[in-house]
Amino acid sequence: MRLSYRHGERLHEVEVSPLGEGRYTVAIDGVELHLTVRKNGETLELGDHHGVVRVWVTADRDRRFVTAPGFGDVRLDRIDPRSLGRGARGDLPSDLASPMPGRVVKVLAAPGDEVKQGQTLLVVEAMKTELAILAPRDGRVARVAAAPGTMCEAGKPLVELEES
Amino acid sequence: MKPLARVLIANRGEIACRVIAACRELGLRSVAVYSDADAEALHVRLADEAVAIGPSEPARSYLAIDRLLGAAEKTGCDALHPGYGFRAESADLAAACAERGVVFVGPTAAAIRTMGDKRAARALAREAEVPVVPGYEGGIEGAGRAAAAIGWPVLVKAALGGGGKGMRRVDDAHGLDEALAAAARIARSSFGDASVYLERYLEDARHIEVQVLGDGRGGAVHVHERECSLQRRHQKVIEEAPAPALDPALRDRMCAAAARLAARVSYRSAGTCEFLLAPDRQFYFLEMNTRIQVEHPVTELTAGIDLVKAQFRIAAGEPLPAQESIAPRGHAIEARLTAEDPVRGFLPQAGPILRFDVPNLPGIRLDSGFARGDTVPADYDSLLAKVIAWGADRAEALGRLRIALDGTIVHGPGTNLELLRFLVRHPRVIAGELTTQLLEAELLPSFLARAAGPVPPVLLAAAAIAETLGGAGAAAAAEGATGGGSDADRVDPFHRLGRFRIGGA
Repeated sequence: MRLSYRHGERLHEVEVSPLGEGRYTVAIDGVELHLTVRKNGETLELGDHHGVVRVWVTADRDRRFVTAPGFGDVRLDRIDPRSLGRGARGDLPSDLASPMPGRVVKVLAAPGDEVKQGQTLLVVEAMKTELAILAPRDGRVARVAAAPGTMCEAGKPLVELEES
Repeated sequence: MKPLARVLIANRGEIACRVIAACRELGLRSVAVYSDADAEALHVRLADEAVAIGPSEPARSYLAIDRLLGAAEKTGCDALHPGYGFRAESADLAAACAERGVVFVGPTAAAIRTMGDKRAARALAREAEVPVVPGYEGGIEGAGRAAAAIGWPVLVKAALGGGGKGMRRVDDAHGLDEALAAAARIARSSFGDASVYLERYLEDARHIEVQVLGDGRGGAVHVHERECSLQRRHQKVIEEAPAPALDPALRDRMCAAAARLAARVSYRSAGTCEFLLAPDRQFYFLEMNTRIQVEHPVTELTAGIDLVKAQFRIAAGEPLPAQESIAPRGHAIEARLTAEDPVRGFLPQAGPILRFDVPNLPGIRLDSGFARGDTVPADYDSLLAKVIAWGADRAEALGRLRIALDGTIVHGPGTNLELLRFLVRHPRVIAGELTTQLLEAELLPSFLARAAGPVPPVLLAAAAIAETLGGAGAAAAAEGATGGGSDADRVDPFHRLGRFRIGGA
């Protein structure tokens, strides 16, 4: 089974080959690990000739949370390999979205406004932190999908810019 | 004074849960309040009763004095515990409680007002022969000359501020006028008063604070000190007791100074005098926090005194413990687990907590405001829980905290857990060589450099293997209620696969 994960800016290719009786070969970006795997309650125990480590994995839609004591945590996004082409062309979450869920406190742009790169379009607040959403380039505001006082989700675009 | 019976807890999160626990022990009925965002929050589930007080915006719920007192009246509460943050240091809330015959479990309105004005607090400290940071409280005209006399750099602070808000460092006469104007602007908008004052900026100082208890009649005891030098933007990250920097003589002098100051204002309830300790071992009073502090558990674990219960006992008119009876033992260290992503500029995180486990180990205490399945709202501060370790000495406490943090699992909102794990194994932290600038100037940059490194292969392998284990894949691994700790053949969770081990101490 071939899988792709995104961690921050990086992509990782993982190929899992079950060999039976709980033995696996896992190739990570081409480097092979030979592991034994056992499910123990809600954890996985991964072993090699050095010993065994217990790992907690949680899935939420495409997101994976993985923790192993001694190795720390990681959050990964599982990527559908077919979408990779698109991702590579820069079709990543819009920079006109709030990176955090929060409350829109100020809307400083209206449809039709000509804006300059770096200009503040919106201010979002979460947990006492105010974050300005800036125009990533010069352009004209096509649509504003936020009003002061409303809640916003992470990653959902709040403003649409068009070429001016 | 008649004994208390029913307490309104005017707060949320871990401190509300902590106060509810104290109420339960004392046989007091607890009444929680909640905003729309917190209708299903842990503090609401734990309390005996709960009252909705408004929308999620703090100004219309947790900060609204009339709504808090309305809830107290409606449920027949005879006392109100403010926790920390929100209205905990509001003289207006204390006064409103007094007017309506509700016991405020904290200081008097007069003490809050006096200590809330940092210039008045400094004046009082001088009267009580407690050293203050050299500073200037006069008019703007004289500020330039005063700053030169104090010595650069100086800090411009808001008179009614606190906790570092609106504070500005100025390195020379050049930037002073502008800094004074900017600080005054922030002071007016944040604290409703534009007054500012100057203090010398102390380089390489340590933050040491002393816990006090006062009876409101001029009696006060200290419950020894804590060190909270590991801070980011004046927000404490790791705190401990006792302070590694103090020898017994210096400890006695600082603790006695704090108790003197508390007695001087006839302080009632639990409070904290904050000091800076300079590298030349001179100490200076900074400000007094007139509330229970986030980091109170490290004092509780070492001193063996339940400070929240002590607040209730004092509120009911009981006498203070004798100073001689307070004899701390061992060492305690607290780590604040917050829903912030250090890698992305400590961006606040919110959302459902899919998994939340802190190992149950000897010497570990967990003060949490959330449980698995709860949602962290975006409306409030980012503190999720505090993991506190006690040990016979500092090395044992730190070792226990390290193991507890390694085994802590929070899946869902991003947290500072990896930073905490990094801090408790950093040589400077292990050596106890701390300053208030250390975290931001040195430790954070090296943490961020390490965080940018590769993902440990074992974590990628586990994610991928989980997908292959049946239709539910990784989701199957997420189900189930506990960490599965009772298996007879349980594998040591801290046993490491040497081969996957990545760099870092």
